[in-house]
Amino acid sequence: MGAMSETFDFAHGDRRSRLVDELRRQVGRWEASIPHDETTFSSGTAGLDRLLPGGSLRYGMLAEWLSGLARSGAATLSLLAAREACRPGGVLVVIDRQQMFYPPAAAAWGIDLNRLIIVRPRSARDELWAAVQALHSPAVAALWAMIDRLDARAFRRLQLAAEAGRTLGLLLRPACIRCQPSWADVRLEVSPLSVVRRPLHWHHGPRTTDHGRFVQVRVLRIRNGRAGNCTKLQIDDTAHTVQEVKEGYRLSAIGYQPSLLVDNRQPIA
Amino acid sequence: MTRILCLWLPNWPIQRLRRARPELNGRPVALVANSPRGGQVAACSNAAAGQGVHIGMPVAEAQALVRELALVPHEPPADRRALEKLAEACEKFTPWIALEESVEPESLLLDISNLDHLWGSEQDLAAQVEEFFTRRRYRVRLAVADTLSQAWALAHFGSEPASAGGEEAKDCNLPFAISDLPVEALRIPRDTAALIRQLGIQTVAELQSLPREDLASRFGDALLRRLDQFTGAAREVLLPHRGLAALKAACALDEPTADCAMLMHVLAHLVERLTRQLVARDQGAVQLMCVLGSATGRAMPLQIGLVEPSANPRQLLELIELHLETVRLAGEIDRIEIHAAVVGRLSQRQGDLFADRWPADPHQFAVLVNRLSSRLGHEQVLRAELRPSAVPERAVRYVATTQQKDRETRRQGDKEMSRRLRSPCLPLSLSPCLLSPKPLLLHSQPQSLEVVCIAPDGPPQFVWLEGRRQRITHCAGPERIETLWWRGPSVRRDYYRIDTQSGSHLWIFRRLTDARWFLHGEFA
Repeated sequence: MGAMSETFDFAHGDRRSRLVDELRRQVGRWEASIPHDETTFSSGTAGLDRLLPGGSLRYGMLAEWLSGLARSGAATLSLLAAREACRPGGVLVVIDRQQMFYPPAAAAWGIDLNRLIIVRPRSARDELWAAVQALHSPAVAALWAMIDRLDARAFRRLQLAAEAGRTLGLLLRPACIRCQPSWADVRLEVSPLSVVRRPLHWHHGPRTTDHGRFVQVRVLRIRNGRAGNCTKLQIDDTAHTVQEVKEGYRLSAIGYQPSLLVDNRQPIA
Repeated sequence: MTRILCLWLPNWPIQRLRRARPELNGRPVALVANSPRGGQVAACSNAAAGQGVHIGMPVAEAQALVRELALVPHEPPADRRALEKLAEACEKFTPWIALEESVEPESLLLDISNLDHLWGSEQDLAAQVEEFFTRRRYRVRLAVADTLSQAWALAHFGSEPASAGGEEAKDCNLPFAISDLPVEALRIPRDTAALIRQLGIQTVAELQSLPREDLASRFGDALLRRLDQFTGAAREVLLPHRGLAALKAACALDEPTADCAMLMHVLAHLVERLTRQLVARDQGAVQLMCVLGSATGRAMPLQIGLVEPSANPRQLLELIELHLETVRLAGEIDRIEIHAAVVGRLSQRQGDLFADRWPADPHQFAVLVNRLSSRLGHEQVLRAELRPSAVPERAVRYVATTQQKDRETRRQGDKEMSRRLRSPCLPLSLSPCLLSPKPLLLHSQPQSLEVVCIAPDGPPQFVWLEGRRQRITHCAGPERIETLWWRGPSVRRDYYRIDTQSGSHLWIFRRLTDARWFLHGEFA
């Protein structure tokens, strides 16, 4: 360690934290037994990368994103991962049975509409078939699908197809399947956080300033890694950025009544 | 290098008439077409025109002007047939001859590429073609150029003898003589040309100097297409007048059957036969029709569209099988026929020995889209294009990935045109829909919502979601979206982004016409 201290200049905090991140990523890669020739890429958010096996996503893996009824921010975060997967090339396939996916918003988040295919299957059977076909295709870089029900066999088909086609599979699923078995490499749960905003009293009506959305991402299951880690992220829909939550926000899990617990007259540090 | 000879027979209906009825020689003649307002002059001889008769003039007026005017019914089909016969006669010069793309064609287009060595030179060939017609007492004007459009323009508006391009003109953009032609040389409708002239634009060069975006918004894409064809930026295909035999294969079954395995076996043979025909012409199927005739007399057509031309029997058979899985047979099948309804030139592919993953082979993309479209239907596999609208549901247009436009783009092989057509209709930065945050999930039909506001037009305080009242913890807005009355049904809405106490981030709006609230999207 002393030799390292001589080699690297830790005078700047940024540089030091970057080095620590890099070392952590390397350790993660060794732990996750990811082959060196495998192409890896960031999920688009540094905080999220730290939760992933090897500190990054890779082609051929399946990632599940769970969210409750509030659908907090799983769609946005997973779409950012899809954007990163498509950056070198390839197509993004969106399986949209509910016909709710809104391409202009995706474009604002950096998705190239020229390399986006939207598939609208009419049945769950066709939905699964289309997902397998897309994952199997070498032309597809990432698949983004909102799939509610998946039995073990269907899940295994998806996993094999993703590995064969070396395609990143991003599956958005409801939080109620939390206890079901999974063939995905990582299962993340995204839940909303409540932020205490200042300075108006609640009886003046809801706040009209914009702080973005705050979510917590927790690792429920991970292959060759540790579950239970979590990170807090701030999603800014105006600037289209996602960053780790900075100091100065009072966050609490949804279910509490922040306005009742916190005295709004006190300024927040 | 492609060289096209355009041969124009001015006033072709009159020329044909004089050959068919020699007794009319020397007399002023007018061809009469029936219209809702009575007989009108559709064409007239030079003698009649010299005395004031013109196209579109009522017959009675023409007769009043020229007492000895001979009136003959106008017969466009007969004119076309006569022109086709001339085209057949010209096949001794070149095998690839087309008629001008028009309702009433007057020109023949001859592809004379690489024929110099057979006729001495291009000029000799043109001279022989001209002699062929003049010997038969036809009046003709000829022009040779690199593109169909230029040849047509020179023949109609250029000076004689006209020739443009060739080896000596390879390095320049457009010869002055060509770009100085009048705007009518672009083969645009008369009213468009008249409108352009009203704006003070006389020549093609003047038109070219204007911004393309302005031209498109004022005159439509058709003018830009003609302009690109004229400059050679877009390729134009010369379709021969003599159609080729249809690409099809059919089989009648001795015993009617509804067994899919048996049908696939027969289809495999038919597809094999069809692809042999396609390969012989260096073409691939872009749209395949498979007709299953049942013993009851009903025929079931299956239409299979492809993203790129293919003559691969295995791929075509797989697509038919995928399509067949989604349909229910009307009964036992006793006759199967497949034919290539739309074909395109096969593209050559060469694989890389040490290829990286990206860029991926475009053929793989085509295979995926073909598979998805065959099973799910073309309208279920879509591309999204941004539209210039502030109304969220009108800000995007979905087009089938297998749509014709892409195929045309690929055939043209023009990179610039391809880039322009492939890019969304509207640049992202200019989309009025994206001036404010938009949700990733949007309900195709806004859902009615119950909302409580303290002030009459103030922000919402509480919202009922799934039967539960929820306090709104954060609200941003209003963002007013209104449409103009000439853009369809009026839309007047105040949008709010709200956070509820359960953690939902919703996009709701109040309809200003009746103050009702709706849930439109979710920031998921």
